[in-house]
Amino acid sequence: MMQPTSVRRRRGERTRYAVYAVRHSPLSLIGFLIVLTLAFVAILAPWIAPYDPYKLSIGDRLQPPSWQHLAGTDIVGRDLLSRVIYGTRISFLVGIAVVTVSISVGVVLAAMAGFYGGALDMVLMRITDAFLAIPGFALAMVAAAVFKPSLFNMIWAITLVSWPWNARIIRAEVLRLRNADFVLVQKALGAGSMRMIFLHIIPNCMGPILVQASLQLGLTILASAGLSFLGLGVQPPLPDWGLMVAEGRTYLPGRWWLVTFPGLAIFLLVTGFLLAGDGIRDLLEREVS
Amino acid sequence: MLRYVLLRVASIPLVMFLVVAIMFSLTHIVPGGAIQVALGPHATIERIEAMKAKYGLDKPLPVQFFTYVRNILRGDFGDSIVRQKPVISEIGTFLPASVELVVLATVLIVVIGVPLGVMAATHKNGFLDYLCRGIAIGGVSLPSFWLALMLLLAFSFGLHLLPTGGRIDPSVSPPAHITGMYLFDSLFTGNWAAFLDSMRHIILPAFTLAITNISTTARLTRDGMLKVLKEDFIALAWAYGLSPRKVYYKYALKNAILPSITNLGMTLAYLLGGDFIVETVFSFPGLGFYATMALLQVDYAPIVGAAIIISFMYLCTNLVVDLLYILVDPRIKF
Amino acid sequence: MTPPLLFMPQNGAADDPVLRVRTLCKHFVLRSGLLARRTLKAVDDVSFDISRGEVLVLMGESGCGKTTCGLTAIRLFEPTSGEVIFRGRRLLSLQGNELRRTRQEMQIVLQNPLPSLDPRVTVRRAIAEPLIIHRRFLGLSRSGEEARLAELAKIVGLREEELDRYPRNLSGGQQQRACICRALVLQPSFLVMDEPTSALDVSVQARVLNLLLDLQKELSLTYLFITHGAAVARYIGERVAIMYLGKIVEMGSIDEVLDGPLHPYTRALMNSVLDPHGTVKDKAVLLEGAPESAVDLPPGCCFQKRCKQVSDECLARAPELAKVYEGRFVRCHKADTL
Repeated sequence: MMQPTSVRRRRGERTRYAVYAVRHSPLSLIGFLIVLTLAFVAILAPWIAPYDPYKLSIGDRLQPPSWQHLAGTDIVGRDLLSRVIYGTRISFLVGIAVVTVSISVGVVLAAMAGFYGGALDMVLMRITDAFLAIPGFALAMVAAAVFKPSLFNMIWAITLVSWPWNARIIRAEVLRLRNADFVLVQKALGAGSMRMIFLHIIPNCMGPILVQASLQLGLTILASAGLSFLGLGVQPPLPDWGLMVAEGRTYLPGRWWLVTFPGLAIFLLVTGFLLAGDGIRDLLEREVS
Repeated sequence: MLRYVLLRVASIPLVMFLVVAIMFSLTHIVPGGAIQVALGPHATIERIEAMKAKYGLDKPLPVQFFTYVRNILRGDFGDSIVRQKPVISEIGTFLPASVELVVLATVLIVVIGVPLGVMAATHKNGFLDYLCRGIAIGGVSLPSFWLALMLLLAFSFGLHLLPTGGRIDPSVSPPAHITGMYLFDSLFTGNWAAFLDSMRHIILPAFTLAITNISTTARLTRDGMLKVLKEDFIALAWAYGLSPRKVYYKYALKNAILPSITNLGMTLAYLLGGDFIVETVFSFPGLGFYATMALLQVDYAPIVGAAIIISFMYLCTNLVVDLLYILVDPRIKF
Repeated sequence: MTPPLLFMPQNGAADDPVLRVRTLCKHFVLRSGLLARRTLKAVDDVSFDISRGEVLVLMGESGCGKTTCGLTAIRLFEPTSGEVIFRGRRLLSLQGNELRRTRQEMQIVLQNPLPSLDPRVTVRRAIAEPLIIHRRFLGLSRSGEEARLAELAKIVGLREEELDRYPRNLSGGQQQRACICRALVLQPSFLVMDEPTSALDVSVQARVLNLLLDLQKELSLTYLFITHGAAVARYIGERVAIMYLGKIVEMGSIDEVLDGPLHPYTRALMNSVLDPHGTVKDKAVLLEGAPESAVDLPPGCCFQKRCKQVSDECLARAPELAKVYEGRFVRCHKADTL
């Protein structure tokens, strides 16, 4: 199937393919839109939020949703909508930080273990097994609690729990590619192991890595919300969604808005990431077949 | 085949050793905060040192680790520093409740998730399909603590149908202790009141725990069914004029269910993990509740003990599931 | 086609065998059951020489070990035992940069061109890769590298615009040309070709074969050419080694072996090649039985299970590769009696 393409037309081909893929998977399109929209909300928070999320206003506390405060106010009178909007920043920050580190670590370790095999691989596999055997959330709780609970420490705690998953998935990919013809040819050409791993094997794992990244973004946000809910994560007065749910819990059932809106925000962002991840996965499967 | 089984069984102690090492390292990186809490803010240095010595926290780390491992092998998981009681006995008290919860959740997952997936597959692209897929996606993204609170809002505070927490009403006496699992024990002894009341208390936590995996199971079943339904032998079944019920349930489902079974391992891991938050929100007195409460008071021994025991249970259950899988799938030979 | 000025023949005594393979073995250990270990002798006791500028064809059925042999001979697999002497150097003793430098001189072209190319890089980048890997050894300037690439692309028949495409956007023939170009860019003197035309369309096969033949003549290349087809072997080869279950069973000049085979296996192979009239020449010599695997071979001759002339001696003692006359070898107890 020769196509008369120049470099410019090749780029056109890629866009056409992307549009085709998206049209055939409306759910993933919704996912991408959600994520993009919320990303913009996070970036533009200072301009979008109607109030200062930290500003106390005791006189206005515990107000139900109204035209002045679309989501109501909390126990010290802070506008809930503004806090939820600023909470988007925290969620993205945590998600991106955790995923970046855990995928980098997972990829490097898995690539080396999968490529070299032998003792290195065995050791890595056992360590991964051990981490995966420990109930994830429990491990994150312990890790978050051991150091003084804070946003920063929570990121490390979740990363600690996340990297084994990545390692396992990437290792499977690396094992598959290690015996591929083009890697064998690289060896004949005189390429060293590092070159083969980082320039040839890992770039060809990008698909699964992306899928894993987007799924993990969603799961990380859920985990961080859970940890903050228990008090082991983000500390007040930061406007973290999980923390807000915890703060509002004591006022149930009367002041339902304190708990509902932050929870909806979590639900929305996580859904976005998971749908996007599904979409990428479907795209990859279609490409293969 | 035998070789495989032996290898798997042999790997468990090794992995458990690593698990213990990991938990030990985590909790001993930062020096004894629990003691501070136990003794209060006005404790003198001498009292702190004395307590450290009592728990062996003044010895060098490798020695502590060795002692720790040795104790675990003897079944001694240390004492809860805050409550001054042996962790292992407390775990024993709280464990049955968690087991009950996880088992019920698993039942819900299979009983709701699989038919949901089948329905979605058989009514492909129909309303039911989209509904199921919607639930599937929604289920995974719901934060468990939030769902718990929403359910409480609806069923407890709103409709006053179900209680707000705990395991059994104070007015109802718990059933005779056989396994420690109220549902089972009350059924076994014919204690209908206790059974009903326990069920009322446990149903919301079980459902909250199950919802994520109901979604995943439904989706996997749906995908599996769709794949199998395209196969030639199904077309042949249709050509023979078999009823839809037979085709779907007798022929297709058996083959389609394999990915769901493989997922069972991961499901278990999730259930055992998510357990902690759900129990805390519902004040359900299980292992997760106990461990979390202790952790929030900077008492590490309970949660470390709980994590180790759960890991062990997880590894064993996984092994059993894998072996069953081999037995069930005739294609796998050794 | 005039030889390009950039492509200089390597130094070395003209008569030295480029490759000497001695008792090369590649055994794989398969584990099954609790304690059982089975050995797959993919390559067993293989010895041959290839002189400068010669084309040695390695021929046999699927599974006879010819691919493994080719890959092991240039140390892409580590041999289980044996010796390989490449241009006077002991290949198996080389390490690190020495090994890397030596790899410049021996290259490989595999059967399936598409998996041989990294799907994420353009053809141009793929061909340039060896130059990048060996940059510090070669001492070429950037423009020098580009010039060499352009020159070779022209020789091999790749158009300028095809170089900027991704492998999946090229036809099979063009993909294979790209692989050949990549193999040549370091100016090797020795090339292993593993069935380079088998995966191509028939119409393209001839063109690529001709290209390989031209390249061999013009650039004084030495080939180890692996194939299972007699026609291809005759077209490109000078000498041939027939392999069966990991062993060389017959070796000699191509016309002599293919027209006058001495080993029972070779005879059966040649008889099963259909001639243009579609008739099988001699039915009595046809092979019986299914293709075997080289796992847990019994003692004795490797061909014992399918040979029509098998005797007790064949079962008891494995024959050696014996010289029949200069340059002609057969591994059979009965070779002189047939």
